[in-house]
Amino acid sequence: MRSRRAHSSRRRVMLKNVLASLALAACLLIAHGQVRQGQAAEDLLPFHGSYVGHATVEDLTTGERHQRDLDIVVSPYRRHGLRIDWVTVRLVDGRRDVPGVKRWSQTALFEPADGSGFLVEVGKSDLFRESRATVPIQGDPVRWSRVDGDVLHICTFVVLEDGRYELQVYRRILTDIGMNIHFERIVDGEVVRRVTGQTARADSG
Amino acid sequence: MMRPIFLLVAALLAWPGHTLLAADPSSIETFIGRWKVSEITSAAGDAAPDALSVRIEADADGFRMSWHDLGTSGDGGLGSEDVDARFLPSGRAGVFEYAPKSSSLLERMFASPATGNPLDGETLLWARIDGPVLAVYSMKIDPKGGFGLDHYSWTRIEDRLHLSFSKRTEDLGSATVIQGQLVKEGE
Repeated sequence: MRSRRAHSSRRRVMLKNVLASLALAACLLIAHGQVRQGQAAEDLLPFHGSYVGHATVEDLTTGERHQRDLDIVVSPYRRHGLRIDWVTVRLVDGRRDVPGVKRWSQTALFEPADGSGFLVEVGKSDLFRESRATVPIQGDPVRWSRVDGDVLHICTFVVLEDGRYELQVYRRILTDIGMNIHFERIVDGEVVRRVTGQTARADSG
Repeated sequence: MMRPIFLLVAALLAWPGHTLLAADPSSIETFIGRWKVSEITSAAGDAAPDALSVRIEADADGFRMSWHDLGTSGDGGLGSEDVDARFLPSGRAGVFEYAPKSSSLLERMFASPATGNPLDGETLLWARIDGPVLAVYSMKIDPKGGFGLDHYSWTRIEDRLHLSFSKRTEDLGSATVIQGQLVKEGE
């Protein structure tokens, strides 16, 4: 009788130890994930700021070249994320104060991907819109971002309607005065557009 | 009395070759068979001729194919893994999605098309047929955010298949790894 009680007590202790070990492992995993996310956020710090500059766009299918003005703001998003706002102005004969000028404004938001060393694009939260899983084979774009030293990479991948793919690779490279940009748009293996440019860090008023 | 133009159309339809006129540009028909290498025209690594072999057969509304994964080697050799994959229509004309089943280890790495998302660490595998071209793609993103995109293209030219395999990574850009000519076995 005493031996059965002792055996049952040993089992309880063992069970407690196993549960404690599991809880500790879970805490370590969560802590590790947070450290990784914190590290990713820290890697982004040097990029935060406002940048202005210009770029040359080459359409490699037609040979056309255009000049553009750039205005980029890189800032934190939520706790460990990234926000990029950029305005592009297509110039006419090098001028932006004449008819025919075009202006685009875009924003991209990224948050760390679970268990990975990169960030995934997230939409602006909208309580009234039903969220749906991304299905790349049906043409849903996939966009992600990562930092590699002084280079911030943003990639977009999409399976086109006819099954070919489009890949956009955007690199923003820190320099002494600001950030250089390098962009390629690739359709089914062919580079169809290339953008190269330089920017300088600007004081925000 | 029938006009000559109607007679011409009727003659074309009666001729066995009329299937060419009505050929479905997304049909697998022209690629079906067991194909073996007749010539390797360029290769970036050591490629055994067998590594370029491919078997293609019709399967339900789609097709099934077996080939060697030319993009998996880490030791400079090519074609180190066998893939046997089934593709079914995706709902987009000429586009076929991978239909998963569990056989080889490599195949289990490819994702279910319904949920397949490279951002979740899954490899996206899909195929496209456009007339004489059958292309198969795989796309994956590694845990650090780097990507790898493999692109196989088999082009039917007369009685041969011209294979071109290229891979693209962010760091290395694009490289055509291997090109070759295939002929149908038994012909």
